[in-house]
Amino acid sequence: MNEQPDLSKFSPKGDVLVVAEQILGDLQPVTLELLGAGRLLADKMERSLIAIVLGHKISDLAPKLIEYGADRVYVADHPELYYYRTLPYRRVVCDFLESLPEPPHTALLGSTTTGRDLAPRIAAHFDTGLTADCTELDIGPYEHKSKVDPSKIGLYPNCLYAIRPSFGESLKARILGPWKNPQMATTRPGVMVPLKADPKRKGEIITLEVKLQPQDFRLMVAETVREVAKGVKLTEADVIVSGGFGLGTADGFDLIFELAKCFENSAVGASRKVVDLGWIPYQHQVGQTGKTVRPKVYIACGISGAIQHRVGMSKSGLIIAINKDADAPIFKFAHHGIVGDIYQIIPELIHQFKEVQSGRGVEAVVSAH
Amino acid sequence: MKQLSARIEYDLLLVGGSPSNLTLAYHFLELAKESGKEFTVAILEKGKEFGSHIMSGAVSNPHVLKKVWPDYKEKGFPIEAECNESNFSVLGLKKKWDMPHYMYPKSLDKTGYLVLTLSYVTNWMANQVMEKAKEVPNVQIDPYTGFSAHSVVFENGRVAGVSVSENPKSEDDYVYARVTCFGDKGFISRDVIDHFKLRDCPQIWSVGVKEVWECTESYQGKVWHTLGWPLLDGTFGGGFVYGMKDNKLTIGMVISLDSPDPNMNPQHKLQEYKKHPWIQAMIKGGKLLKYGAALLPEGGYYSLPKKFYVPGAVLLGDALGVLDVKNLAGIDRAMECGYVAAEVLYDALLKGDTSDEALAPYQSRLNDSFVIKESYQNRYFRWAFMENPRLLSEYVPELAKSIDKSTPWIGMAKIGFKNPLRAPLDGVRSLRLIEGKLDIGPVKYQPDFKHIIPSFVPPKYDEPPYERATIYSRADAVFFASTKYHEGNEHIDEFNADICVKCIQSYGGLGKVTPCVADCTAEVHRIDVIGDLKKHGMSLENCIHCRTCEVVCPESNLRVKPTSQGSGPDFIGL
Amino acid sequence: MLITSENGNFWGGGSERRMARSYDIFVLVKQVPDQGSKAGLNPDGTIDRARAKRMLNPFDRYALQAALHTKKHYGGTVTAISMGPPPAVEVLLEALEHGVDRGFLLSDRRLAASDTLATAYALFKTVTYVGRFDLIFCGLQTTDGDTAQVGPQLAERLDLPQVTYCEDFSIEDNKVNARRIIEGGYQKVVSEMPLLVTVANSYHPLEYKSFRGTWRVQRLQRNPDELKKYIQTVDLDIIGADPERCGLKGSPTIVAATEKVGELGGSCQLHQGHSAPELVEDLLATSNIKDFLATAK
Repeated sequence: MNEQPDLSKFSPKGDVLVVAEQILGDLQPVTLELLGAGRLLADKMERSLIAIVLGHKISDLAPKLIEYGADRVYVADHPELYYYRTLPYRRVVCDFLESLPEPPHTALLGSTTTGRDLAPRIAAHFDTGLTADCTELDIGPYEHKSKVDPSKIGLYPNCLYAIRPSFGESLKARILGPWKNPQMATTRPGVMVPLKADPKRKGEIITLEVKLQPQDFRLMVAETVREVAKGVKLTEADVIVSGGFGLGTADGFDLIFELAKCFENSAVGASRKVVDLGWIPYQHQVGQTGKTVRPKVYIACGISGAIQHRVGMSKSGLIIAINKDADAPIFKFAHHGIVGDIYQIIPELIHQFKEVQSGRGVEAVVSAH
Repeated sequence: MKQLSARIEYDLLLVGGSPSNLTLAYHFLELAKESGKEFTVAILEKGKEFGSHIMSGAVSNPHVLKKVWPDYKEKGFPIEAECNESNFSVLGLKKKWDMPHYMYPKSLDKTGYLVLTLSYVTNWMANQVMEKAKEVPNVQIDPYTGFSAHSVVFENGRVAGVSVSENPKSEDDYVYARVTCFGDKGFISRDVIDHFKLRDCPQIWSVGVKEVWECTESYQGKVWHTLGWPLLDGTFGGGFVYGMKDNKLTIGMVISLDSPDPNMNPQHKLQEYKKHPWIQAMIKGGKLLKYGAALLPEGGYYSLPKKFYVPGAVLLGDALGVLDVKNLAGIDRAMECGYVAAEVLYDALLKGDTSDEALAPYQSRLNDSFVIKESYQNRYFRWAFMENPRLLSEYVPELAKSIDKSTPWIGMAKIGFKNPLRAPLDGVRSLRLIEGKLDIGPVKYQPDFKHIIPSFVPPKYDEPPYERATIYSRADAVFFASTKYHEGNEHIDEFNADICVKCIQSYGGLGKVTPCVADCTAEVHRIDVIGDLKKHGMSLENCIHCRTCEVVCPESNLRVKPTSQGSGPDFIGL
Repeated sequence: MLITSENGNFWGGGSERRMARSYDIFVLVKQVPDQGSKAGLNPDGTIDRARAKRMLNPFDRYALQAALHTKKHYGGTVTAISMGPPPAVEVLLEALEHGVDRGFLLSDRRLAASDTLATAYALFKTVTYVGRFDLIFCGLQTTDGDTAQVGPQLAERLDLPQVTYCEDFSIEDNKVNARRIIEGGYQKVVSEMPLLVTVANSYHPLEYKSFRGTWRVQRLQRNPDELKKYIQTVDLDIIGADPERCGLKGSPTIVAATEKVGELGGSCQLHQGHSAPELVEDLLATSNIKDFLATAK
């Protein structure tokens, strides 16, 4: 009987990789956040933090990645990479990973429409594990004892801990897969914290040779439209008013929009359930599978506050919850809670806000003296 | 592949997952179990599940239930309470007077009856049918929840089936049967009645509105039926409060739609009812669980169709109109219809003869049963109040007033003193009509909306003080009916928009809104101001399917159709 | 033996237009616990999968709509494919009610504890077993796993192009025109077939089940032999999958630990038991929410 766990079996080396994301040359904020998270992981294991960026005419991006923490940046610049497309991007990233003498220990992507499109392709190609929408990342040891697959038994000193809420349950699950590198994970924009840009940081920039194949062009991009001005500026709003299933009907959002209008720089959010029901477009969804937001004020109307919603908004400055059910979980982490019927409370809120705005509320105070 | 577009055909097609049709299905299964002969049965239920579109008071005599399901208790029949205290009370604005038992008809004593949540009962019945079907492999029963009958197919002078789509395009959108059994509330069976010209005297309607509350203490088994507040304007109707298990309390009103008041809002009346100190004391600190509304056919004997069956179809329950207002009973009567229909249809199908002659016993057997016998006995009940409006517009308010001020006895004496000759005569004649002891020959009702007096001014009363949290606006109440509609739903027809514009104008001139807007139980009808034009608009997504608007429309310009895709309110729990 | 459906119009209705060709359309559906119902939730917040009510993954409803829309407008047959324990046949029956032509259920104990990669492998073998296809539609993600990974991983195994987050879709000259959501906008793409599409929930909602479909399913449920002609249940051996690559063994990731999410804050100031105006006055008096109001116009 071997008393000592066998450490020699798996001794992962390899760096921490961030697959950068840009849309039409704009580096996406999630990439900087991933560099922040990846830096911590790399430092913990004493490895390098590397990044790959794909696109066309993107020479200004590599230095920025270094400023935000990358030690080494690989640049794949090619006209066919101007727009994101699954197959060419997948080709370049897979070829790059195969070209490395040692696969990276960890590979991180943003949990964006691009990252969620690309990451599973790479994971499937390398038969490696991928954890979606992580809310925390860490490095730590793990001892696998299950005898289902004897080849997996052992103590693994440096594992990627990919932590995410388990859906429909108020649990956080720590998911890991140390048997194969790269250990992959995606995280939502807004979850991780970027480092402060340091223009003095030194790093290496390496240009990759791009070799695409005819079958990579089975799908062509006809048009990419970004409606930056339009749309829902959820992540930039100071005040977010969100509606949930407690509204009862899609029309309830009329009231939510009206309440939002009372505030400076506001936006309307929604819980997952009502988006699923089609009451309001997906772009409004706050939470694990929607957007992560940190407004100064978050007003949750008829939202129960399930864990998936909470992870998307719990870092808001002032959380106000309105819900009929005094036992709703949202009251456990809101700062102010009003127990009552939203159809009575919201019109009253609007009414009193309007009084304040028109100065009448102030007058009343003055005249009381 | 011709057969692909073949007709979908059954022996029996049950339109509506109602107590009548489900009793029919269950009893039919029992009969067919013995013979082992093969039959096919389809049940269309427009709700997303059985029970989701049905509601009632309900306190019911379980005699038919015991006949169909002798072991109903063992089978988990959902009972809210067994009535152990039955009251008939008159409400003033402040006080309540429980009449001594000798003063009101025996039929209003509900002791020993069951307090029920009809949606649960209906759901239970549907489960019983499906369970039973497993024992009877020779009968195929196909439940179709979320499918409505949208129109009746008449072929060669008989009912051949129905369409199951609002816009039927191919045979995929129809279902046919040798006999179609209409157990609906008139949404579709009225077309059969009209087609065969079965009804000379129109049906008249009441609307029932009800809330279920969770209270801080239990009133289980207590039953009150009330007169007086808040119906002090001559409108026929009353309130009911039933104590149920788990601290639940049913609070409801049944209000006749022949009210003279063009702006009689039943949901608002229910809120006024709840403001009575007696109800306030019970619901204070409680929680509203559910709200709903539904129509009750009240015409009784003289509104019955001439024939209860037509070639290829039979009419049951509310489609027929067997509800007995005097007895406050409908469920047992509907179930009896199903029970009798099952036996008649079984015989007919067994013989392979579904002709008129073969269906005729359905009517003769019902005529011989308590259903029609009692209906005949109570044939003048509604008429007695129509014939003499003083009963409701003078005597009841007077009595209610005296309850608050002194005692009801003084009130009654006052009525006699004020009307020394008329009151006793009124009393005798009305009582004899109500008891069916005076025969005045057939009567014919006016349609409900004809009773509207556009300029009617309702009497004003100082409301009793109440807890604000216990009162719900109509818009808020709808939330508790859990309505849900599919996209593109258009289940109320407005035939002519110009007629609505004129109606809005004429009522506007009187400082009122149209009856559809005022009387709606669910904030559906509205007046849209477009420039200087006022038009009728509808928020159909609020509709809880009661059909009040259609009945009170002075121009008969609206028709509420069955919804599709299981859309509508969710009455489970009512 | 494969089930074949000779005619796309089997369910009635059928294609509205005559098309040069008929498409073989696959749609992947999954049965998930119904999170709307409180039945089956353990006191500690975990799901008791045995007791929980089950439902068709809500995202798959959009995929079904896309598949049925394609059949209706461009002609073809729709095959629904699912993987799960035997009760998962319910979602295939539901798909049949909506007008899908046939279903395959991959059910095998050895699939238990599969992660997304193992699932994608098993589905890859099932799809290959079922046969030729032009289009595979998947829901964007499932409500129980919530990863959105299986679709793209299956596409990788099948070496297909993919359109994820698809919210609009048409076929022209045997090419797919699709619109996919990207951050703050959209992308229009043109792709060859075969193609895998994951459908976003901004696509058209699933139309109501058809009466004839419901009629047919009622019949099938009474007749197991007839049912087998429409829904075939297969296991790993039948589809020729390597059990080592399925289930726990074939999964590169494991759930190593779960922890209950701690309560945050706990310092909520609760306003209740008063009328709406008083509650709102309370809130205005005790919070700084007024500071964020827009200035009056």
